[in-house]
Amino acid sequence: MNKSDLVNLLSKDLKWSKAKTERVLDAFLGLVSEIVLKKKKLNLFKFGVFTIKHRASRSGRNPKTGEELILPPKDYVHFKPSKSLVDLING
Amino acid sequence: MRKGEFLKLLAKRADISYEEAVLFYEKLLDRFAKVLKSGQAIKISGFGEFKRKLNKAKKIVDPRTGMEKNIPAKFVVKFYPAKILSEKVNIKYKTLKPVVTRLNPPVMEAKSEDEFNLTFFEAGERQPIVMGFIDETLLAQESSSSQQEKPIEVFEVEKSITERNLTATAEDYFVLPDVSFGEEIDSKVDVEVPVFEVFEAERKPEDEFLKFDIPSLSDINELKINFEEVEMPEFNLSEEPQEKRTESVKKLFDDTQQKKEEGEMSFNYEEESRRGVGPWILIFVVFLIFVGGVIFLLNQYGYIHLWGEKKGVSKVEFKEPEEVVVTTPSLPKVEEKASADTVEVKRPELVSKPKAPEVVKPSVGKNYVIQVASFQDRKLAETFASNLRKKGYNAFVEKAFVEWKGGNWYRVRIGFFDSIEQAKKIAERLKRTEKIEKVWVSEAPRTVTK
Repeated sequence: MNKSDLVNLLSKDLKWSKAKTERVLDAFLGLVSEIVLKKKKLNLFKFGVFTIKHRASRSGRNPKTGEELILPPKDYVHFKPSKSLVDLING
Repeated sequence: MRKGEFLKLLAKRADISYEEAVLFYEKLLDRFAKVLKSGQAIKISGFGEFKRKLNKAKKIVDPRTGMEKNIPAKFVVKFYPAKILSEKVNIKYKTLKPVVTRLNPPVMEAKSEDEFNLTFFEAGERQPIVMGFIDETLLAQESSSSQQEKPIEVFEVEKSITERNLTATAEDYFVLPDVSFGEEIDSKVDVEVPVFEVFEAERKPEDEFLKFDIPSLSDINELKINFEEVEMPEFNLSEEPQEKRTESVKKLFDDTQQKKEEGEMSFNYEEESRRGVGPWILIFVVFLIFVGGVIFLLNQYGYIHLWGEKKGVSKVEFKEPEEVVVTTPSLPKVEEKASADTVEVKRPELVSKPKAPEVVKPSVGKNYVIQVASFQDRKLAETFASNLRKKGYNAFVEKAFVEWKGGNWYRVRIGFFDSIEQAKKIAERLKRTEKIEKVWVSEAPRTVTK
């Protein structure tokens, strides 16, 4: 399912026009990503927590050529679903 | 960040009310849960992918009580950030790239020991074994002296060894064939054998290989990069010029700035739209005028009738005065039945019921016709005629070409009458009953009929 499908379903739920729904959804996603990038943590109530986690540099190996490498450190976005969302999915 | 703050920001960003934002959030949450429950993944380009994942059931032992516990299988939600998002997150590590610490040494294949497969030059591989018999000092002298002269090496081969192993070994190739082992058994044999260039070539890569030093552990430790010292690029998300950003880093989420931006943006849009619409309005107006003119002309010529006097049933184009024949008093009637008229005689009977029995006498010389109306449209004429036919008149449509009135006209006529008096009587009745203003009675030959 991609964004346009989601917009179609949401517009039916909300009884809004598709254009409006898409605009609001875009704003929502933009806001989430911006806050996550800026503040490194965002708690969306009943939805989950977005955090940015750090992965330290490590030594690795290229399996193709057998070279040994030192890989640089890395940040990544982690999402932990809230309990209510997990309950909804399992229920 | 609290619930209210986030929703307020969302409402401002999307230009909706706070209540709408709350509603949107609830519906979004419901829809997310429903879709994920159905097993579908939600993939949003530029943001990431939410997927349902099954955590398998497992058993654990509680360290406090020592009891075994079953943890049931459970679905959890996994988030895989999109490439754009992860690049944005990693923007400060953008310049870092993996560092190669050690190249993989080339794999050496061990040569087979089968001597029978060895050729003369490949036998050089076994030279290190031969080296054991050579005085190293001699070797050093020769190699150092000059390579231009043919280097000669002296091999000392113990006789006892040669006696024992007469089977072909690599050493045997270096023994000159002239020397016979049988004559000098106890003495050592000095054999001078020219060393081929092949052997010289073989030594060099060995030396190089020995020189190649593998980095020690301490070197590797030194190689580690202090990542903190690497310059971090500016954390630029909103693609604004950097000067502005430094001034108002903390104001990124301020409402005032956002308002200004939105205002400017909307103003620009309005301007652009005004510029674009102008010529289109002109073209549209010209088109309207053109269409109006065409409609007016069509109406004027009677192809369509939208306004003015109705041209349909009631409005009648009357016959041109040229064709109107003011008939003179009745002509002498001849009571002869023309053979050609037999078919058409029946018509007057049908036409006017009251006078049908009387009008049986066809005239040879002249027939009279009542013209009721004339149209330029054939369909209109025929409908008009059929209306009259239903009322008992023998109406028909006649086509006529009138040059000065512009084209074909379809005349609706009622006929045929032998005398003008009959025609006039019916014409008067038509005026009364059908309310037709003007009716002409004219003379016409019978052959004109359809």
